[in-house]
Amino acid sequence: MLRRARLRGEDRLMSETFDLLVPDQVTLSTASLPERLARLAAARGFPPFAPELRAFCSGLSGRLLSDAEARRHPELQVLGYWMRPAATTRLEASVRAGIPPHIQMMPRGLVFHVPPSNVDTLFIYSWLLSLLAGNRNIVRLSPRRSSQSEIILRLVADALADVPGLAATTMIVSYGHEVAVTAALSRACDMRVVWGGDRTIERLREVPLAPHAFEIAFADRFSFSALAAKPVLALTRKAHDQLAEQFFNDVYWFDQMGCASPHLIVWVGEAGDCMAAATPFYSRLAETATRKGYAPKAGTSAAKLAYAYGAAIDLPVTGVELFGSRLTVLNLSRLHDMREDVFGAGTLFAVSVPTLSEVAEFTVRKDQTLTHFGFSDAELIGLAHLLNGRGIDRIVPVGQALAFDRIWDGYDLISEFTRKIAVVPSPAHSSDPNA
Amino acid sequence: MSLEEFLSLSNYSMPQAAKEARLLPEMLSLTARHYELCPAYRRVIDVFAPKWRTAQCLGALPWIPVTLFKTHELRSIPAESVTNILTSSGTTGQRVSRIALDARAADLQSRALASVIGQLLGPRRLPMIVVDSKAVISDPRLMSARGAGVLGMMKFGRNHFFALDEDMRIDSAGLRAFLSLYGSESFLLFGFTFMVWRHFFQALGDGFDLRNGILVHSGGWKKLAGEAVDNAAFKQTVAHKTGLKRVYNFYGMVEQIGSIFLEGDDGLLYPPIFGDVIVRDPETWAEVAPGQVGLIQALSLLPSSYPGHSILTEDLGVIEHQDGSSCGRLGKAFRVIGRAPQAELRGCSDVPAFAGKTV
Repeated sequence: MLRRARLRGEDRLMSETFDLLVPDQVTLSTASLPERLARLAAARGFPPFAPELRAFCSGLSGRLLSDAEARRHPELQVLGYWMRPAATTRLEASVRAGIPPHIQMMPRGLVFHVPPSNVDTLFIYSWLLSLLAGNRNIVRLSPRRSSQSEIILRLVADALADVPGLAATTMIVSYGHEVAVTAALSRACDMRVVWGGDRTIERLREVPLAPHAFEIAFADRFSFSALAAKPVLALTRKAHDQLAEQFFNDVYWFDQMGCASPHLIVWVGEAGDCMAAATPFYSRLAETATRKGYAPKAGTSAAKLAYAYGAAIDLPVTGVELFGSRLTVLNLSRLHDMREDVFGAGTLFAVSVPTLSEVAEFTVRKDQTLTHFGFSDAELIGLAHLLNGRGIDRIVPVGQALAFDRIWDGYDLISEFTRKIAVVPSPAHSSDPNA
Repeated sequence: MSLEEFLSLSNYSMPQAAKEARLLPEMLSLTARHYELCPAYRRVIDVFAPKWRTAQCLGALPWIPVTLFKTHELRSIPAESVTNILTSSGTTGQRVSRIALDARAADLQSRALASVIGQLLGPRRLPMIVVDSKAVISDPRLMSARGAGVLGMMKFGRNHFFALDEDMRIDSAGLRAFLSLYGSESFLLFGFTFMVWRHFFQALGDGFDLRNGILVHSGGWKKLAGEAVDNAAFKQTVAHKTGLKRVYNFYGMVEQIGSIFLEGDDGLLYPPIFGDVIVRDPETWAEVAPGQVGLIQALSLLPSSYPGHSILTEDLGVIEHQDGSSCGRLGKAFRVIGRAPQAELRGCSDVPAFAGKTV
């Protein structure tokens, strides 16, 4: 529909449309939005962690783990595990444990999610946490969706049908540039969650929310990895393979374009150890990529190489280790900021430093995830304290870069998705007669 | 053997092995020149081909991706010597290559082109139909690839007639007049493949006899992909409609301007005497054997003002044979398959639907 509108000269007066994907699949005129939103507002919500909500998560989890198509995508399997019943039970317990006794946890109301179009499966994490918190939800998906998202949508529609009343609290929509739609949804919601990048956040900030509503925005981020050289050298062949495989998942899922995908390896240790550990690790990583069948298209490989050549001009690159089109490692003479212009598809910078504290000096606000291997708990906690919140929101083991957690970018999402209602009993009715 | 000597030789006259042996020392000294004079090139070569001086064959010479000319300024002459900046064509928003020429490079480039085109057309300038509008050459200061190409080719013709107006409509009356004057003897037609096809032959009415024409065209088939026109179908249609049978496509790029790969009578493309072609496996970057598809690397002795003498293109191609041509040409014969497919890398740093437009 949008394409047709463009051909006709993008007439602003023309009625705009959007696609409803869930609960029904239908293209609607924006004129119908107020009525749709009114229905959504009138829908009876559920309390946080209501049995219906958990049943839905369980139903979706089961479908993801058994659907033949979904089983071909490891990230969908991760998602399936993430919301199986035991996991949601644990989640609820940990959320409730953190709430003082006189506080009642309630839903925010209507939450409008704008996930990124390029890691579009992220929408499900944002939406499900909000759903578990009892909110009514609107999710805006890009018209250019990945096949994984299509699978999720199919299974979501299926699972929703099993839980009466839940579909009425949910709208998953898809549209392109239609400003009127974004404006209407933003005005209606109690909370807007924008998953980046920076330009999207800036554009959306111009679209007003209701006065009481608020926004969480996830800006563009940079992520990297710190590997302790000596412990890597001490690994058995098998453990080394495992580390490479976990590192492969961190780097290559989402073509290394996730906010949490590492782009830099900081080897920590004596220079000799770092050198000795690096090349065998890259070889193993490249072998893993081969084994997993990672092969970028010819044009992507050419672009990846052109990026590396450009980096050799712009950055203090001392050498390159090329493993065909699968892996490019650019060695830096020193830690140097390359955050503004990185490339995916298996392109890593590498540098050696004597101590982990050098990482702290390099870190800026933009840094999100530090994956690590070979450091003690004390070293990692020490690093977090050294940083004092200046940057890096997650310090997680290699292999968990893309594991979604309720604590993300410094926010406790499930807590943000709930309203804390203070209920203070009157002293007269207090159970303590001496009060 | 210097470039001057190469230019004095006939194109396609040297067996591949002999040609490579003669090109190698020249390519090495050209590499050394750019290494010395272009600091950015030196950085790249130090990282990616530190042992380049020991190259024993053309395939071992350093090469750089052609897109580097879009992202970086690479030149081996001081700014004050630049006489011309060529830019590649590109749609709005795309970055374009910027190629700096000095007087010597521009001279070499036009002489080199003459050595290839002259061999096709003979020493005499022919009356010429430019299948484009005159507007394309109206601003020669900042030349687009299209304008530069037209201007470059116009040197091989005389009594130029621009067959299209600014709206890409055929000037039929002008064409009739041109043909009544020159149509009975050899004349030249030149244009970009897409325009020659779409705006000239497809739009041309019946009754135009172009049998004495020699058509030279370039620019790729990408824009015609939707119409399923390949070289053979193109030639067949043109011959059927107008009687024009001498049709020569060439492959070239602004980053190696003057150095063109011209189609032989067998329909394959041939490198000029002062250049060569290599096909590389996009998974290993190794040179592949004839018959195997890969990314095209173009080599040329021409680029002296910028390090474009050995560049990896974004085009897929295949070498069909070497020294085995049915039309008497020696050296490598190849085909261009088209632009290498590129997948969008996905990540969470952008939501295109909201980008670039104020909400």
